[in-house]
Amino acid sequence: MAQEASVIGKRVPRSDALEKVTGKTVYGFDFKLPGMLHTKLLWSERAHARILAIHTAGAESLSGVRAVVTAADLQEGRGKIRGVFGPTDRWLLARGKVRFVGEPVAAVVAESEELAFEAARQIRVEYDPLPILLDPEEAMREGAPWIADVPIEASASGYKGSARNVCAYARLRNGDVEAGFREADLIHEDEYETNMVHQGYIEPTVAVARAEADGGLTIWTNTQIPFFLRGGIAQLFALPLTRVRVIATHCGGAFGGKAGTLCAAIACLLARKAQRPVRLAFTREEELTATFPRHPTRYRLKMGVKRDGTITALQARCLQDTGGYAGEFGPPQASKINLLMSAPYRTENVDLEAFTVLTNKTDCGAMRAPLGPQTFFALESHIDAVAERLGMDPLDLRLKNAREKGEMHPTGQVLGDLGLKDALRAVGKAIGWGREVGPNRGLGLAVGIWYTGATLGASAYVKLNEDGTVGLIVGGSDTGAGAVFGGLPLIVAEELGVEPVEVFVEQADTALSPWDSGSVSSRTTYSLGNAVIAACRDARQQLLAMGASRLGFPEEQLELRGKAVRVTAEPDRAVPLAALALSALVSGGQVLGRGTYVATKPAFDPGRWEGLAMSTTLIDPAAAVHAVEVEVDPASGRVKLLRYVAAQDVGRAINPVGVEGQIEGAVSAGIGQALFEEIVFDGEGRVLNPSLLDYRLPSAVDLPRVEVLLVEGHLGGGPYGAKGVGEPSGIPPPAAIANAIARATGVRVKTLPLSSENLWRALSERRGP
Amino acid sequence: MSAPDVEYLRPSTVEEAAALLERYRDRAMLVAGATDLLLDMRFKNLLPQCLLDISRLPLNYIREEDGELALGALATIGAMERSDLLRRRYETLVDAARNFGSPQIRNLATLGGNIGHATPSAEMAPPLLALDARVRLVSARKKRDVPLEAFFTGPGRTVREPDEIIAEFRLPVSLRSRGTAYLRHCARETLDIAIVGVACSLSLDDGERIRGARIALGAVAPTPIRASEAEEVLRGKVAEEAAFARAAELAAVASRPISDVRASASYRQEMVRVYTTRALTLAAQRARTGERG
Amino acid sequence: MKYRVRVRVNGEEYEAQAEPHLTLVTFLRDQLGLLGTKWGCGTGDCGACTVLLDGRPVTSCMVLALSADGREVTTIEGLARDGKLHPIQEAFVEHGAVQCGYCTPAAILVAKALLEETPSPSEDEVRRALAGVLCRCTGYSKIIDAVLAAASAGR
Repeated sequence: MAQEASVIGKRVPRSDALEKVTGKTVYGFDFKLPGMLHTKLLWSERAHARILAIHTAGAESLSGVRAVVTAADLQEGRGKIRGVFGPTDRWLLARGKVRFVGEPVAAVVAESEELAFEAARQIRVEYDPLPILLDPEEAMREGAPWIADVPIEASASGYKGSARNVCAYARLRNGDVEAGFREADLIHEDEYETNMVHQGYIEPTVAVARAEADGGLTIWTNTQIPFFLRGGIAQLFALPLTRVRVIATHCGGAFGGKAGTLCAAIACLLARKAQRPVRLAFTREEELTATFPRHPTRYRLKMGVKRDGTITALQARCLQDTGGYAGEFGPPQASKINLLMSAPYRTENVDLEAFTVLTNKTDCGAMRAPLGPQTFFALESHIDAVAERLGMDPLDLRLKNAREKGEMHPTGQVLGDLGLKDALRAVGKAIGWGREVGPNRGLGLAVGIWYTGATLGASAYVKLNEDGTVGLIVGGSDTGAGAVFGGLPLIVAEELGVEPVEVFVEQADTALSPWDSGSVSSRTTYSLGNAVIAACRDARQQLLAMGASRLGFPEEQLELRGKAVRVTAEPDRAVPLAALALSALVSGGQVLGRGTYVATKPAFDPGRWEGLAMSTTLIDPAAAVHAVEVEVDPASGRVKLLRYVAAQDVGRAINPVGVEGQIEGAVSAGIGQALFEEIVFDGEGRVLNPSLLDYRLPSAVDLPRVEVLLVEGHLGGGPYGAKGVGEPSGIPPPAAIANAIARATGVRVKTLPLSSENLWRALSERRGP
Repeated sequence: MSAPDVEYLRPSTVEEAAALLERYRDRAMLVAGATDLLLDMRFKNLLPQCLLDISRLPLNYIREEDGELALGALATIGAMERSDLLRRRYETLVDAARNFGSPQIRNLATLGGNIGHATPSAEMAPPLLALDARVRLVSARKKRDVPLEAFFTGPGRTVREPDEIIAEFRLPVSLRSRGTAYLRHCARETLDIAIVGVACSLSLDDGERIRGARIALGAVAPTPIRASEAEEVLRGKVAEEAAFARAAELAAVASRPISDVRASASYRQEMVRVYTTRALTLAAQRARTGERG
Repeated sequence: MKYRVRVRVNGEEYEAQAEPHLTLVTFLRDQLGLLGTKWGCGTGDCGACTVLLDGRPVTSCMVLALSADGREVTTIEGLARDGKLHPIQEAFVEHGAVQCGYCTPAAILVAKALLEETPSPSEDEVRRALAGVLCRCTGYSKIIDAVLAAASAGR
């Protein structure tokens, strides 16, 4: 690499922008194969019931219907979904009982979409209803029916208590909370509740599956996890990994919601039965009813502080409502809650418990910073309330307790360079913290801490073409975030001295690409980027060696710059990369670089954890600090966002345009959760608003400009010091807005969303009859 | 949605359309902007025997004639939003059109479609009610005018016979001393179905005393309604906060909202009060300035 | 039963047969092979299927194909001329207005119609015009930047 970055940190258009603005991009939803059949799923209309019989004859007899499948079509001993974290408790198609409205019970393929829809209507299911549990506390009660039919094993859940329907439990303890509370001058205790929201990607989830002659499967799908999906499909159908090929298409947004196996697996089941290619696309109604939304939560927090603001103890109990199944993303998050809760603020004394509880609602999954906005809604509302009771400025209280580099987190991990304090100060300055605001207005701020999933491995190949252009082959897939098509070309350009437009990226095809763990946990630019750097440096070594022999200078005196190997001291003495690449083809073989990357899990103390402790460390913790100015209309409870400032601790911004875009997008989803969005259920467990009319994604007239502050310098282990970027700013918005509303009105709303009716009700209660 | 054979007919004159309707009656579905119809077809699996596409009938106009404002049933909500005539003298219609659905939907949805579909929250109904609109219905056998107040009979139900087409809406021409407004309450600025919609019209003597008042409410009863007692209490009063507050209370009492996924009944009722006060205040301002902007 | 529909798409005449309940979006995508018009919800709520019908933005999932008979449709494929990008397309690329890109064709067409009617829109007017195109990736800021930039480039 050159002495100073030539292209890192520049605002470069992403390489897939041109095809996207001309409408040429083929997304998963657009993908077609000749002779393709169309699918319609039949979902359960009951929240909790035994399946007595499924009558498919009516559907099968319709002309043009090619196959119908139910759980009976799953192979003996197989049929449970296997996700990123391994085997789950959920059948691909409901077997024996249904546990939430929207659980798929059967699927039909036919020659046209219309026929498939009609055929699905002909399938009759006989149910024997069971009592419905919609509230996690109800589900935990003594005598509550077991949603899993049998008590859950402590070995699986980590829970040894007597409450029912707990499918995971994790507890983090350090120091002595009782002593901490005795030491406190003030103890504040309160409860918070958050809403079920959906990822809201505009392109539906789709898979096109083809059964190959040798029994293998090829799948084109808009997935975040090509390799884990390959593994899950292989396991379901007892196929070797080499006989399952997953090709990641372009994707119209995922945000955690396309990190599952369900869609592709059902398509494969049908493709094998019908022996024709099959397309399965979820309808918008199905997306909003039954696909892996964000977990609703309930927290009880108790914090002890001294008069000077020092936090002496933190105790928390969280109920994570995971819906009908533990599923692919339930249990791993219980420990995450405790890890996050104790991340930003210094205290030795913590006792944090989280329960992942089954209910008869949608099986929840992973959504941009899973458990992040929930945990920090509780914590950040709480600390603001504490500040108020202490008569202390909330920014000062946070600065006083904010953790820094080298401090030990209660998990026993020594934290890396966290830019929390800098981000707090930057935001305070930008919003004008402390200034007078008009009537019914208020400033609020909130913090979020996130990490990078860098212990999930990545790898890359680089190949030099004979014209000096570079091919980059990765197993990652771009969900739209731009890590693959916006960030990686810059890294190759930087390392090999070429222009970003000369780098052509091929994304995941599991037959051709090397392993990547998926576009999850803000890891793509970081982990895949590091693998790409390694691959480039491998190629670079070969190029320098070739250049040295051509130019007659030792390698140490050479560099890669301007598409050539040059003598550093005399840049005009150079040999073009194209020439080296061409000659390599006839002697020695093509210049190929390969690289891999996986981070080491930081050391921590397992003795501080009980139960199912899966998320126990924070690699490269990154802070997001947001501040907002709101105006409340007390008569209606409507909230207007006048200004919004978002600072994020990014380490190093590889492509600032892309980084800003990610922050702005994360903020918009956070504001959606704060003010507009909620999946609402009736008493029978049915979703009342499964359309984009009543599931309210914010539009261009509902959102403010976001003033983005990139806080660089607190370096992470990603390329050139980068940290994971995609998720942190999805965390603070609900708490920042709740805090601003509390300061504007004197009333604190502790339930999301902060809808106008909820706020109006809280204000009315305060006003009295 | 599978297709038994559906017929498609596209008449070019009102007479042709009326003759076809007389033949098919309720086996035909009228299609203009098609926006609500397509939702019904998709979710309720309603496929008619005949789709009668009336989008090419010469009913797309906004004009004053014979001392009245005539709005063709095929006038799109978008055209209404952009109309200078409406903005100057019938502001309540433009207020409603501006935030109706999305810009794309406004370019498709028609006034006749919105009123004909007759949902309790039909957004254009309160402004038309506040302007004393009449619905002109045309069939092969007769033409008749029905006051809009008498047009709605229940959620999704109107007095339109199966062989009648809504041809146009007629309203008395606006008076100089009149101001009108429409305000709605909802979560997002546009796109949403209103939780509460309030349309008002105030005619003032010397900018002071209320000569005539209309208050119409949407989304808070089985049909869009007039709040007659609230209107009564304003007559002869000075146009100011105290009078508006009293009328707003009566408007709230007149509403019979339900609780649904969008809002609870008690909140809706309170929002009737809040937004009626505000709509009356705005209407009075406009009546005084005479400036329609 | 199918009926004949003649529609001019991106300046070219097409003639085809369509069933009465076929929507314009499905007609464009499946029968004419123009996949640049996207599908997001099928109920007119997300705007991804937006095309220009006689120059005005409409959600094509809410329009019957047969209703478009004799009319003009512009899709995203109709914007670039002879391989040269429309200034709005260029602005979207330059300003980082494209992330996943799924709403991009709709946003560009809406912007085109806006700038043809209002060559110097305010930010508010741009937001109002874009209100019917839902984007989950960008928060709209860079899309608005791109539209305003295209407006100034046009002056």
